[in-house]
Amino acid sequence: MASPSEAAAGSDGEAQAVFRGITDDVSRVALNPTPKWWWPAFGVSNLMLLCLVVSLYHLFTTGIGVWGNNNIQGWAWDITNFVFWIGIGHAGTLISAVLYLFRQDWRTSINRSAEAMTIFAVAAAGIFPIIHTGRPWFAWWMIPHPNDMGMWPQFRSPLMWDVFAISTYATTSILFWYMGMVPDLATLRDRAKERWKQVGYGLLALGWRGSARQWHRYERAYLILAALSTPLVLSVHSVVSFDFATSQNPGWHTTIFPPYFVAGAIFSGFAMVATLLVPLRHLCGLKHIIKESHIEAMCKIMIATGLMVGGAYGIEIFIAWYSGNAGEWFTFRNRVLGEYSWAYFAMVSCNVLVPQFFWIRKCRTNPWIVVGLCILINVGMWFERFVIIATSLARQAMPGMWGYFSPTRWDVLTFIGSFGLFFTLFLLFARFLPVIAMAEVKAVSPEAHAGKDHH
Amino acid sequence: MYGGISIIELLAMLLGDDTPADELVAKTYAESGAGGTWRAALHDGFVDRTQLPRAAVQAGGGGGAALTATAAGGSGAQNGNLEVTFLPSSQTYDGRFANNPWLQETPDFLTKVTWDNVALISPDTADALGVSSQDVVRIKVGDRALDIVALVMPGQARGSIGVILGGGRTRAGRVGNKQREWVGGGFDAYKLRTSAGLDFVTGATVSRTGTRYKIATTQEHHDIRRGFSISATIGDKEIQKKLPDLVRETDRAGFADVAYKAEKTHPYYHDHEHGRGYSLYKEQTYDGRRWAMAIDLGNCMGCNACVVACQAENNVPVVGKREVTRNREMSWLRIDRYFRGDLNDPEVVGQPVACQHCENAPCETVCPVGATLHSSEGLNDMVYNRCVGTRYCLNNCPYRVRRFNFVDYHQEFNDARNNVRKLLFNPDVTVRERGVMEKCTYCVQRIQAAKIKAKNPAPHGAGERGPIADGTITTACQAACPTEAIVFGDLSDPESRVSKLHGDRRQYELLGELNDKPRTRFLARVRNPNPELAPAGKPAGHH
Repeated sequence: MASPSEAAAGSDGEAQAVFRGITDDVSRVALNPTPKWWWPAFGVSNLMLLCLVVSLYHLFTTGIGVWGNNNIQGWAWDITNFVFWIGIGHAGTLISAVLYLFRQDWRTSINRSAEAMTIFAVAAAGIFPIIHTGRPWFAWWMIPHPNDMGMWPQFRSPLMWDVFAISTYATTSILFWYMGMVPDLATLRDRAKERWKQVGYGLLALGWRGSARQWHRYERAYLILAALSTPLVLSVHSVVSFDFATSQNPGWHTTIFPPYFVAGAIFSGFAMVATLLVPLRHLCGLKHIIKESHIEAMCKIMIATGLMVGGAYGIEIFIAWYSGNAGEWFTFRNRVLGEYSWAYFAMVSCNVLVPQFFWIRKCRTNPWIVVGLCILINVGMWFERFVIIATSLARQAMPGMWGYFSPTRWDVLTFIGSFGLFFTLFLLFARFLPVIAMAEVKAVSPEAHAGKDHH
Repeated sequence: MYGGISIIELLAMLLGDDTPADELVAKTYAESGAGGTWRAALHDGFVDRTQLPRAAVQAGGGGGAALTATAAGGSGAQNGNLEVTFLPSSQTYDGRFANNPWLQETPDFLTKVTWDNVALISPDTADALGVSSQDVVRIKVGDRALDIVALVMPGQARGSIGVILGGGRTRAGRVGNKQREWVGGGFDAYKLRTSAGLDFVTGATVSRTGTRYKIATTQEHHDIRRGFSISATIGDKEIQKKLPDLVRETDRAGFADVAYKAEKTHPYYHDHEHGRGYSLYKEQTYDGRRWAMAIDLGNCMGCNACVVACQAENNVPVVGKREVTRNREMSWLRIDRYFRGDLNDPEVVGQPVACQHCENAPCETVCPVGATLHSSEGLNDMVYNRCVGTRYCLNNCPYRVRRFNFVDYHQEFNDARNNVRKLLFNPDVTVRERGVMEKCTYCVQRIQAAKIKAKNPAPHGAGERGPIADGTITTACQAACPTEAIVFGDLSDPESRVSKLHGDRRQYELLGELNDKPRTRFLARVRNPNPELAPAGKPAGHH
């Protein structure tokens, strides 16, 4: 081996080239003219977003009755969609915070877009608790605020806890995402050719100059935010699960819900990240940064969380029988064998059987197979929430009030519309912001450590 | 109100008399020689000494046994020789009330059908004919034919089609006219009925037309269901298991046992052995009045009077057929109907269910804005103004008695100039807007009125803050109940009727295992069937 100084000198030149390559590739996405694929994709997303606007207009002017919800199933697709989107929003924090604290360096290629996805998923989720209320113009009553009547929210209600859990999560995620982006925004500012981009990125970069002191503070703040976010990975979906677990409905009232929901959330979150990143890396020419090994790592996490979810399904049924609670046992038999059995088997096959394909190496390394399987997983995770919410409520204690939920076209349009919101935001992000954390990728790339014997 | 003229005015005008109707009536009354003035009679509500003479009636001969035998066995008639019986509708009678939406939406006692008249076919006969519920069938008798929707009805006599009259009118009015499938209105059954067979005809042929027609029932019907055979029966089997717990009954022998306590007969859940559970929350204590209700299932015959009375008293909206098919009927009080035993010859049990006013109300803890709360007198109050409509309370109510305003059901009456609303609505009860939850209040407006009266000085009130005498307050359902099955009162008065009934050994809590501590208690039914009327091969008692 050559002397350290020589090696450092030699590799420094190579490293600089690699670093520049990363910067070029990532900023090109944001600074070059709009690629051809972007406009059709954005157009379709906008059409879907229009579905949301139209269906919300109809909902606000007519009432919840435009959906299929009824006096037996007070919640149906509305809360199913809410939990579905909140679940998807979980991968971002896990990747950003937990994997950061555990020094999982492979996360750097995907963390930025996963965080963005988180925020957009929380945005899509966040509309549902508001719009599903009968009088959404009064939804702000759920936020504690001083008022002349001395009225406070009812703190025993898990819906109240939801308000805190989700607003905290949204705030922290946005801070984390934006703060992590500041150095990269400065890079875009410096490289932008058009004036409006220079000004725009300049404002967003908050005067970042890249000094050692700025970097030091940045690293500290990032660590603190990571530490603050980590409990949120567990708490947010636990609190969401309390919406069900603290009720007294058979099928909802179970202590397994918090861990089961968290595992499911991470499961669906990773499935969505993979669904988005495989086309993104293809279209934006980022295959050498978002590598196949990264996608493979996500698949492995999906095997693990998929097994947890499958285990939870089994334990739920076992406990329903073992508890000796006749109502509980009926709810689960009805869930599996009753009128909604089609939904149950859709859920089990998508969430338990589909991830088993990831044991096969080819299914992990062929990105398009991964996308197909991940879409199925997300279908399954949507059905999981539907099964929990709609089938449990369909047949509760009083057989005189048993019923069957059928969605209306407005249920479907609202759901499509929430995808429109999500994709529109994500496409804007993919077009105008640094989709990969350049600084972080560089820091963990092998070139950054070449010849550094103190590592 | 609309400047119209009444029938008597029209008749008078034809005779050249322009006198207004009220004067015509007063004049006729004066001429009738009933005594007093018309205004006095109107005030009293009746005319004294005009009752009919008491009739002496004796029970007839042995016709009953023959009828029972036919009902139980039925005729094994083949298609082509089926019997058709014409039945008056429980909603529109012969069709004369077809334009009354309250009645159209009142579920039939047994079928729970609203907004349409149907043809009832027994399960066995339906199987033989290959007909299922919601099939439109063509019933042919001679050269007459009727297309009507079929409903497979447990307990309908075999080989006999029960055609309910009163639907399919064309000039009944805006509500009663035959409408599109989603609006209802029924089928004109008079097409089959001639003077040759006013009550029944024979020799009928039934065939499927191939079309389907949606029936709006307020209760899941055993035949209107989805999925493969296990899905279809899993619920029915569960209902049979739950029934002895929900609707408790005993027979004469069981009741004769002095140790009988309906509370203890708890076959579905077995944790009653462990005693009452504890609430997670601090339980409220009550110093003053404690309102409560008792419903005696032994007296209830499922006649729906309470349901309609509640609707009238509490401004409960009619929602229409499409909303009923979506399980959005708004009635605060419903009568659950269950079949027991062989579906071709079942026993029927009914149970009126409204808000149970639980002391540990599960709805209250889950509302994020505190829109449903407990009063100091133990009422589970709904604060409409505060409700944002999350519907969590509905989901968490094990009795499923909460009703949500999914759309603006009173839309037509929002205009203050609409004169109908002055007549339609009870001014003492809030008309709920869309997006808020509602449910039985124990007629809180009547309770408040009695309390105000008790506090106010004479002559309008009792003059002192004295107790409200038992029986002063009657809820609307109680007032309408012809068998006095519903009793309302104050539990803090040990002598009140409701206190006595709450102490009865027949009393039990609905879903008591949940420790909701409902203020409404049910009294178990004691069955004592006449052994001679019991169908052959079936014991009189069933426990």
